[in-house]
Order: sequence, then C-alpha cells, then structure tokens
Amino acid sequence: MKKNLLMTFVLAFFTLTSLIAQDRKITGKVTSAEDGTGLPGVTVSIKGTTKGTQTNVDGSYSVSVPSASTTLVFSFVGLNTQSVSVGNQSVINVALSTDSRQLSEVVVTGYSSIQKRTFSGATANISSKEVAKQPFGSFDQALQGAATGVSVMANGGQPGQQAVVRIRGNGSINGVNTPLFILDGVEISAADFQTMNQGDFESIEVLKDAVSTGIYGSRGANGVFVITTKRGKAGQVQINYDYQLGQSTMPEDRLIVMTSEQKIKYELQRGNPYGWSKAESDSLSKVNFSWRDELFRTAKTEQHQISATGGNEASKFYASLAYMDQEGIVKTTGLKRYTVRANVDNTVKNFKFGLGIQGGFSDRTNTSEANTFLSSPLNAIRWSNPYEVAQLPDGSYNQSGGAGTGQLGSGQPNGAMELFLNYNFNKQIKGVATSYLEYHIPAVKGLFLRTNWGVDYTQNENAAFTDPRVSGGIARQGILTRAMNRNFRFTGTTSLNYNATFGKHEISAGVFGELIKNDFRSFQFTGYGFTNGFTNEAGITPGTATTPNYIPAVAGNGDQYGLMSVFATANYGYDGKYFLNVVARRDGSSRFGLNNKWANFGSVGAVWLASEEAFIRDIAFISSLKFRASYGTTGNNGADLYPIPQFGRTSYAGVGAWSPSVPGNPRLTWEINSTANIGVDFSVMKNRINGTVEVYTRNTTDQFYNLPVDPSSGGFTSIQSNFGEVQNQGIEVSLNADIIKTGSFTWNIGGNISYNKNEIVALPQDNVISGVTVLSKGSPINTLFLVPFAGVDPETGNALYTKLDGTKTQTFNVADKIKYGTSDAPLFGGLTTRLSYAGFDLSAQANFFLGREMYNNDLNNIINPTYYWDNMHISVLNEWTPTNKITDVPRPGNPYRAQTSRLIDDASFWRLRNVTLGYTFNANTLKKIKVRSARVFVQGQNLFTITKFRGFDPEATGTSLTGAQYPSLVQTTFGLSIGF
Amino acid sequence: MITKIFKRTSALVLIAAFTLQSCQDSFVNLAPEFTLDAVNNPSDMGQLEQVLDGAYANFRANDYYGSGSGTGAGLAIMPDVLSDNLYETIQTLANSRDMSNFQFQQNTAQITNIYNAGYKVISVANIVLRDVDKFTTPANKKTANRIKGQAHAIRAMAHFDLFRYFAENYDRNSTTTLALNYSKTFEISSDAKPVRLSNKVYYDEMFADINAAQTLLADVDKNVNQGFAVIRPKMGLAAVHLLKARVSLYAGLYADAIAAATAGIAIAPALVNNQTTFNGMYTEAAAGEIIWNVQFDAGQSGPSFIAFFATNNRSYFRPALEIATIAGTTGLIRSNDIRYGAYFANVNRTTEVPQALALTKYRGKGGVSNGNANFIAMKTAELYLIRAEAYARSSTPQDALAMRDLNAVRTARISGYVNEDLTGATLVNAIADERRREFVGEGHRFFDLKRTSRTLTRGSTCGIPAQSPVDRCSLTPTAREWTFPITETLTNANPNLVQNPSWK
Repeated sequence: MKKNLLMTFVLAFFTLTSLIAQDRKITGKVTSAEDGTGLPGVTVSIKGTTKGTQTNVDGSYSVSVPSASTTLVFSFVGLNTQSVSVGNQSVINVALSTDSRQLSEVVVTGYSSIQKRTFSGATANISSKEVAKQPFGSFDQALQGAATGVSVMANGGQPGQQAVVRIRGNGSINGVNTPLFILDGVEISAADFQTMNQGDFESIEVLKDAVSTGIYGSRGANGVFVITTKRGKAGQVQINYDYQLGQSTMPEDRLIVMTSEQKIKYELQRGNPYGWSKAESDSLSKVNFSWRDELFRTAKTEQHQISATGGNEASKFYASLAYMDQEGIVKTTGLKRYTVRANVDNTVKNFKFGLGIQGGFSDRTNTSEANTFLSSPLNAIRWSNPYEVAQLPDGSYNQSGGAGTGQLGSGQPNGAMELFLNYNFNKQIKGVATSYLEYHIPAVKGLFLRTNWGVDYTQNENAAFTDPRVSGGIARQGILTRAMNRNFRFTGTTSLNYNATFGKHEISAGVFGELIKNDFRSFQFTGYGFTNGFTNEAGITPGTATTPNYIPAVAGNGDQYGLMSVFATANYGYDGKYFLNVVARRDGSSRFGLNNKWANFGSVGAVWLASEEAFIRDIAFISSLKFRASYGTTGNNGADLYPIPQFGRTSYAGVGAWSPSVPGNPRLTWEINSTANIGVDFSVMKNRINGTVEVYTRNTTDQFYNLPVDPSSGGFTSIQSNFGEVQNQGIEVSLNADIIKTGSFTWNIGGNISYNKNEIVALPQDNVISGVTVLSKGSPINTLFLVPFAGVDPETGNALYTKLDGTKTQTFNVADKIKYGTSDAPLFGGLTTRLSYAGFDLSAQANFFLGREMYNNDLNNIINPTYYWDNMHISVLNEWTPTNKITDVPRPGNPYRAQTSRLIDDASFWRLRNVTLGYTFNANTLKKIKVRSARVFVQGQNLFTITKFRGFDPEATGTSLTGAQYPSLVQTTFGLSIGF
Repeated sequence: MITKIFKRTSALVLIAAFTLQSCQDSFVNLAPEFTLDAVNNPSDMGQLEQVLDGAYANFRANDYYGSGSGTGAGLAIMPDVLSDNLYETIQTLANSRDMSNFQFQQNTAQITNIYNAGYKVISVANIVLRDVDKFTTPANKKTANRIKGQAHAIRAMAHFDLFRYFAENYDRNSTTTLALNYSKTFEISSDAKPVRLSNKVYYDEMFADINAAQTLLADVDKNVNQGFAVIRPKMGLAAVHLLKARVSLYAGLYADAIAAATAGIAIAPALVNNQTTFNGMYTEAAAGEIIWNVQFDAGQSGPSFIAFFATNNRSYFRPALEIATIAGTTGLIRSNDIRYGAYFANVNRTTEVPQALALTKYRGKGGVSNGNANFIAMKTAELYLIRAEAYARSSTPQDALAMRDLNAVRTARISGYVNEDLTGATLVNAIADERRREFVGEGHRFFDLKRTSRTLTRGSTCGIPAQSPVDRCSLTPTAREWTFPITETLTNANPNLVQNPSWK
C-alpha cells in the first residue's frame, strides 16, 4: 500500500518533467507471460535516467523518451525485470514472466513483512499455486516436499484427513509437536483444515528458527506456518473460474493375503478346523471373492471456485466461492465442502482498515481407520476369508456365522454390512474472521499504531450409527452416538511500530501486546433401541427401569486456555550490508502452575549481505550471496490444560461420584526450545542457479515429560512434569536452477533435501519401554525396541531369537530386546522440474522419505497362527512343517511372539507426488471471445511409489501401522481456469 | 501542579495495574469448569461420600472387575483364565494369551494394569480417610462411621487382591516374603518410592483396616445398602466379616476364619435355593444372597468381555469340560444344579463353530445380552464354604461341622441333593470342588490352588489345537508363574519395588 502511494508521487513527478522535455513518445502494452493478460502498475523506466511511468489498468503505457536514451526497463515486484533496447521503435510490447526467486523476497511473518535480504531467520516460501492445484480435502497434505525441514506425512487417504506435519523433527516427548498455523495474523486450529479452501491462499511462509518464530515465541516452538489470503488488487474487476474433475483409485497393495485355494489348502494343512468335506473344500477353493474390490471403488473428485478481485487505490476487495466434492476410494466415504471468503481493504487518510471473513461448511463421511477392530471394514479386506462372499445370490447379506448374527463363519463381522448399513459423518461449520486497523501518526513519519483482531470458530456435529442388524448393534438394537462440539478462539494483537532511515542506518521496531483465549464445549448422547426402522434420532427408544438396555448415555465437557504476551521487535541495518534482528518477549500461559505461568524468551540474528561488498560485487559469477546466523529461545505451552489436581465426575449405583482424574503439578512450566541456525543464500550465473543451505541445532529442554510414578502412593501412574532434553540437529539444502531459459522455452529443476537427527540427550530415567518402543539416551524418540528374530530352527520348527551375547535361542526373553530404527525419517525431501514451451508446461514433483522403519501391526494380525480361522498373509503358506523344514515361518504351535524384529518393515519410500501438464491459451486469441485468460491442465497425484513396505501405503505415521489403513489416493484430475 | 501530575500518574498506574490484573484473571489464571478442584475439595461430608462412591466406581476399572475386548476382569475372571476352570477357545483373539498360556513376562501390560487398578481404588479410599475427621461433628458421628468404615474395608479389600497376585506365598508370619506397599496416605509426588513390606507387616495392616471397619460399621446412621432393592453395591458389616474370614483363611488362621464367617452368616441373607432368585442375582432381578456386588450402571461393561463377548456371542474362553458340558450330565455342575442355568448357556449355535457352553453369567441384565452385568464380589455361600474349609483344615479338624456347612450349600443349590457325610482329605477335596462349582468365573480358583496345592492340571481340551490354542497344561508347585513379576513399567516408576525372587 505504501509503495503504491509512493509510486503515485513518482508518477506525478515524472509526468511533470516529461511535459517540459522535447522527447519522442513510445507506447505499448505489458502482458503476463503466463496468461497473456495486461499487467497494470508495471514500472517502465528509462535506463540511465530517473524518468519513467507506470502501466494503466489494461497494461498499456505511454512514455516520452529523451533522444539519447536507448533502453527501457520494465519491472514489477514478483516478475522478472526486462530491458528492451528502444532503437527506432515507437511501439514496444513486452511479456513479463513470474520470478519465483523475487516472489519470496518479502518474508511475511504475520504481523509485518520484512525484506528477505535483511532478515536473518530461516524461512521458506511455499508456492500457494502448487498447494491450491492439488485436490486435497486438507491442504496440509499438499505441503509435502515443498520446503526443507518440513516433514509432511499423509496419515491416510480418507478425504479431509489431516496430515502429520513436523518442522525440524519432534522436539517434545510428551507435549505437542504440531506446528502453529497462522492465517492473516490469527491462530487457526491445526485440527480442522477440512473446511478451509486453499484456493484462497496468496502465500504460505514457513518459519523455522528462533528469530523468525520469535514473534510467536509462546507458541512457535514447533515452527510456524504463516498463511496470508488473497487481497484485492486495484483495477478493473477481474473474475476467475477454476474447475477440476477427476478420479481416484487405490494404490498398489503390498500386503498380500491368501486366495481361496491357498486358504483352503492351509486350513486343511492345519487340521481342517471347519471340518470341510472334500466336496465343500473343492467348491470353496473356486470362490475367490475379493473383499477389497467389494468395498473399494474408483471415486470421483470435482471442484469449482469462482473468485473476483477489484477496487481502487482507496478500497479493494477479494471474494471467492468454492465447492469441492471428493469421494473416497472406500465406498460411502467422502468430503463435500462449501466455502466463501471476502477480504476488504480500505485506506482513508491516515487510516487503513481491513476485514477478511471466511465461512465454510463441510460434510465428511468416514469409515473407521487405524484400529484393530473386527468390525472395521478396512480390516475385513485383510481378515475375511476369500471363500466367503459379501452378499448371497438373493441379494441378502451373507451371515454364514448364523442368521441374525451379522457375522461370517469365522465370527468376523460381515464387512459389507458394517460399511453399508452403518454410517459415520462429521459436519463442520468453520468461520475465520480477521480485521485490522492501522493509524499512521501524522506528527512522526514512520510511526504507526496497528491493532489486529480475529476469531477462529469451529463447530462439529458428529454421528456414528451402528445398525441393529450388524454384529455390534444387535445387543442393544442399534447404537446412535451424536456429538456436538464447538471451539472458539480469539487472538488480538496491538502494536506501535516505527520505521525510519537515517543516512546509512535503517531502523524498524515495534512493541506488541497480545491476548489469546480459547473456549471449548462439547456434549453428546448415545441412544439405543432402533426398532421402528428409522436410523436417525426418530429411531431411538428411550430406556426405562424395565428396559435398561436402552437407557441413553449423555456426556459433556469443556475447557479454556489463555495466553498473554508482550514483546518487542527491532531490526537495524547499516549500509545495506549488515543487519541485526532482535525479538524479546514475556509470555504468560494459563496451563502452568501459579508461580510458573510467566517466562521470558528472546532471539537475535545477524545478516551479512556479502554480495554488496565491493570485492564480491566484482565477481561476475556471483549474483548474490548472503550469510546469516540466529540464536534464540521459544516456548511450548502444549501441555495439559490445568496444572492443578482435579476430581473427575463419575457415578456409582445411580448417584454422582468423584474420582481423582488429574494428578496436577503446580511446578509445571514452559518447555523451552533453543535454536541456533546458520544459513547461506546464494545465486550465481545471473540468478540462473540459486540455493540455500541451513545448519541448525534445536535443543528442547524442560521437556513435558510424563514422569512415571508408583500408583501405590497416589493412584496415578505418571505426573506431567518438566524433565529431560531432546536435540534435533540438521542440515537443509535447497537448490533451484534454470537450465534453459530462452524466449519461449524454459526448463527449471529444483530440489530440497533435509537431514534431521533426533536424539534424546537427557531423561529422568533411561530406557523406559513402552510397547514396541523405548525412550533411551542417545537414541531418537520412538526408537523401536524388539527382540531380534533369527529365523526358524529346522529341527523343531520353533522361532529362534538372538540373545544379547549373539547366540541363538528358542526362548523368547524380553531382556534380549535391542534398538532398531524409527518411523521419523531422518532424510527427506522433494525434487521438482518444470518445462514450458509455447503455452505448454509440464511439471513434476517427486518426494522421498528415507531411513524409516516401522512396526507392521497390520501384518502381525495376519501372520499370527492363532487367527487361522480368518484369512492370512501368503507368507504363512511357507510355515514350518515336518516336510518343510527350511523356512523362516515358525510352526503354528510355537508360542507366537509379536515383539520381535520379524514385524519391522523398511518404510522408506519414493513417491511421484504430482505430475501436471498444462496449456495456457494465447491472450490475443482469447480477446476475441472476451476472455482475459484461460488454462487447461491434467495432473496425476501419487501416480507411483517405490517402497519395500508390506502394506497399501508406507505413508503412515507413528511407530506402528496399527491396522485398518485407509491408503492415500491415486488421483488424476483435469482442470480448467478461466479469467474474465 | 506536581501533586496534580502525581495524582494523575498514580491514577493511570493504578488503572493499568488493575487492567493487567483483570486481564491476568481472564487469560492466565483460569480454573477448570468441568472438573472439581482437588486442592480445596472435598469440602464437606456430602462431597466426601461422593468421593467414597468414586472409590467404589474404580472397582469397575477394566483390569479390576470390568473388562475390555478379550482382556481385563483382572480379579473377576482372570483367576479362572489362569486356572483349570476355563479354557481358551479357537474363537479367541488371543488378547490374553500371555496370561492364559503362562507366557507372561516383565513386559506384560495386563499385570501392570492390575497393579494400577488396585492402587487406584486404594488411593481414593485414602482421600476419604485423610479428610473424614475434618468434617466429623458429634451430630454426624454415625454418618462419619458409615463412610469411614467403608473406606477402611475398601482399602483392605484392594490390598488383599493385589497381595494374592504379587506375594509368592500367603504365610501370615513371614518376615521375608515380599508383599507390597500398604498404602495409607494419598500422596502425589515423584519422590514417593515406597518399598515392599513383608507378609507379616502387610497382614497386620490389613487386619487393622478390617477391624477398624468392623468397629465403625457396627455403629452407623443407616444400613449402607438402604434404599437398594435388588442390589447391594456397598460394603456393610457382613461384607467386612466375609473379608476377614477370607483373609484369615488365606493366612491359615482357621479359628479367626470360623469366627468371622459365623458372625457374617448371622447377619447375611440366607442361601438361595431357587432358580429364579439365583438367576436374578446375576441379572439384577433379585438381591438374593448378595452381600456385596460391584455395581455396573447402564452402558458399562461388566466382567464378561474377557471370556464371553456378550454383544456378538463370541467365546474367547469357555467353561472347562470338567466343570460342565452341554449335556449337563457330566462335570462338576450338572443340569440339576441351579448354578448350571445361571452360569452357562449354549449360545451361537452354528454349523461351523462346534457347540459348547459359554460362560454367560455376566451376559447382561433383564435378559439382554450386552455385557452390562454386576459383579458379585461377595455372597453368603462363601461364608459357609470358608467356614467349612476352616473347620476341615483346623489343627483338630471338625469334619462334622464342616460337612454341615457343605451340605447347606449343596442343598440350596442342587435339586434332590442328599446329605453326604465325608471326612478327611475327601472332605477337603469336596469343599475345594464345591468352591469351583460356586465360584466359576468369580475370581477364586487360581488363588485357591496357589494357597493349597500349588498344582494346576488343565483339563481335556488343553493342548488340542482343534479345541484350544493353549498348550501349557500344568503348573508345578515350583513354577514362577504362581506369582506375578514386578513389571518393567513398575520398576521404571519405582526402583524400590524389589523383584520377586522367583522372577530374578
């Protein structure tokens, strides 16, 4: 805004001078190289002079050039500057292309933006276009591979499913590790992105080190995503319409279960538990029903967005309306989403005022995932015998386990009944509103007051219905659980800011006060007795003393938390070469003990812009070179909500009762992150190649650690405390090169790679085992800890295990456990390439996560010989028998041990994340049909994956793949964008 | 002028300070609205009684008397799973395999969970005992006695249950056998690292609590179970007598056991001898001879789900064929016994799964199969059987008196029963068999074997893959599995918990 005002002055000045001179006139039009539309506001300057002009609304300009001048320079923020030699031309038309390097030259930290060249923080800009084009119900999924240090794991492909996002590793053992998400200066819940439209995003900035997250010091310990939404642009109203249509399929399944023939053969080998006759086993062997095909489908995705922007210098707007309909690849599942946004910015004299409102509604239908329940349809595809069918020839559901049981012969519930008769949905209303008011104090230039207020409101309505006919619903004639909850959070930030330049000195500083409060409420009921055919509330039979089975259950809950902060930022620059950034703050959180609520944090960073030094400027090869370093502390308050001991409500024999629910710890205080970061940004060969290298150490001390205690003293098994230290150290490299850059042909490749080493430095007690993992000094969090499986003894058929002394034994002993790897990939990144030629463009992104190991519990449940009544993994066919002695599958009678290395899978993977082929129509052609711009494209998502992981999808989170995995979708979509 | 400035400034400072304070109160000093602050509460006798009910509620934990999917019921059905009363079926999901096949080790979560569940109950009782005197006045003395007496009884009960699993033997006077920590204070601190007491000290503490409960509950404002028609969810005086008799029997204090059982029988309900009432005890239709039942309210899962998955009729564990069969003509419990119909049924008849009896006693209330059943922790029959055993095992056995009690139980339960007249070892064995009949699925068998013969021999289904995946068919007296180890998790939390010698 300020820049525009300045331009107006410059323009007026130039116009005056041009009236005086006796020069020749040059006219022309500046257009966008991408879509051929006219670009307003482009600066047209005459090289060697201070003269110039700006293009008007449709991109045209007219400038008077002194006869001595030979070159015109066309420049605009975010676009490549072009110089054109005048010669004897009187009309000069140019097309400017986007400069991805220049775009990121401003770092938007949420409260302010700062010139990237003067900033010492470790930040990365993620292309909002790339995020917007990928059809994900939850936009965080599209962040994968987009920036160094940012690990994004899909965590399943259910439409609207959230990813697990980590910036520079896990810092906290028992606290929250989720980064902070800021939208237009307001915190938004990382738990509900399903009702956000990524098409409204203008920029996404990742803040990684202490100096960049410093202004979010009380919440920024795990890194910050700063999202700004599209604001209005001055000029004629522009309307855009975006459309996508596509389909999704399931990925390759690498967890192979037996066919009917194999399973029957195996059953006969194990003693024919069902007692099949010869005729029965022969006919069943031929059934080969695919439960996977029965429950999965090729799904459709469709989305529409219409947006408009316009206004004048004093008042601008952006508005959008979007609709998304994404079916899941498991039948019945899907997400429908409706969102609107309106942003308005006004300037009146010394005041600026803006408002952004987003409203959305989403309707998500789920199936249960990531569990080991018999009733989960996603487990049925693994467990149900292939010789059983979902439906009988007469169309009724197969209940071979007995009429009215909802079960197959093995006792496994019929997965088709579970999927098609039950329902499970979440309807979410989400509103995000932000506003700001800025007052520039007339008396002092560069001094202004700003206040920014926003709310994030989410309301969820959930339903989970279990039909009276399915296995789990019979006992109480159907179960309907309905739950409502809402979360309201407001963030208010008020600041006094000052910018000034004195000679070689540049100063900008601000003093801030911030208030945040969150309020959550929920209630739910569960009703039974669906005897009248209705499957909604109308079907509920309220229980009485004589029908206690139908007595509904009710529950409700609520909580609050608050944060108060005061902080100051100061940036100082000298001579355009040396810069210093400082943040100091004091924060209070409601989550800590009375005398431990408040803490101080601070950070400092420095920049040396080496390429501004004369001795480097002379090296033609180097276009820019910048060194920076930062150090500072930030806090994590992601602990339990109230630190005091509490009783929770319960009841006994019909009366209310109290039972201790929270042990409390009045000494609980902030978990502290100290991050040191050194970075180099460079570009060489006239900016053809540019890159960044970062090295960091992030130490998290005063860990939120659930200290184990003996329940014999107070009934609790752990107390949330501050103990221990975790270190994340890493290197991040990103490189980008324009291999070919001619007029109409460009080829660009880019890559980013991150290495993060996670290590526990201190613990109150070493080697604490929990399930299949261990917390141990010198090892990462979530290190797998299992007994080494050493094959099978050929003589006995018993499993062999390696003891700590290296000898082999047939006796399983937990004392023989050793450390393996972890599922948090130490090495990950993405590679991108983009080719464009004459309107066509082709881009691709491949992502990789290497060095991961995961415990495969999905496999565990189909190799355990106890479960041979249900279907099993094909490897079990090779089980030890007196005639098959050389094998690695133990005999079925050998006690089955799950905590062994036999179940560790290499979960590293390479994935072709996105391929897009697009064509942009020529603007002049489009003009004839009154269209400003048009582009069509096709893209493929997750087209292929290279992995050794035995499952649908290695992209699962946590140390163990529990079971019932909903795989990431393989999507193909066609897209169309039209501008008017 | 200066005064004016000072006045104005100080007013501003005051306003600022006030604003900051009120801001702090609404943003930083927040208190929970849906839980009760335990720093200033319980604050009166009424609330204290609600905390006492909280102690009872914790008996419902999954690993105490409640159950999860194929797990839990640590003191309800687990002692039967660990014995010859039940056998694991081929329908199992193997969630308790480490227990049923005696594969448990120091990493077995179910053991830790049982320990945690027991001490949770104790910790809540300790809050009641910590605070009750604060609210006691001469006017509410009898109310206080009622509350305090129950807290003592609950504390003794839960300590005894843990002791049964974790002590290597039940020797009353051993100063070397390790019992556990006898917890009498409520303390939330990471510094609390209690040690294991000897059996002797532990027994002393249990008896002290039981005697205190006995004294207090004899002088109360009202019967603890007043107002309940078909349930008896609280521990009254009869329950305390039974607990005393039970502990004395384990300790080999037969005279004390006889005295306590006699005192209990005097005030306990009469033995039930008809099918309807007996069934009603398990389906919440009749109080019958219940002395104390743990109440599972609507929607809560009782003990059933470790053995019989009531909502889909799947049996993970079934009664051993030596206990009962479909025909009802062989085994300990036959179809002429009212316990047969109340405890078992042949459900889920399919052609594919072989028919067998399921342990249906905790199936549900009012004829519904949902697993929402109460757990009968104490009933009159146990008083008779304890007294019978104590008479028969006394240093000078009184077989006639023992036989009289045994006959009383059998007469009530078995139709057409003709009194028998057994003596000596035959009588002792007959009493043990009667305990198997009476308490199948009620959490006694493993401990009865442990405190008497320490020999387990599992029945005919064991080791036959087509019937049961379990192949550990016997447990010799020296086997370490008679005692739970202190698990890794517990040692992590408290290094002072010394491991049992057999597990070292």
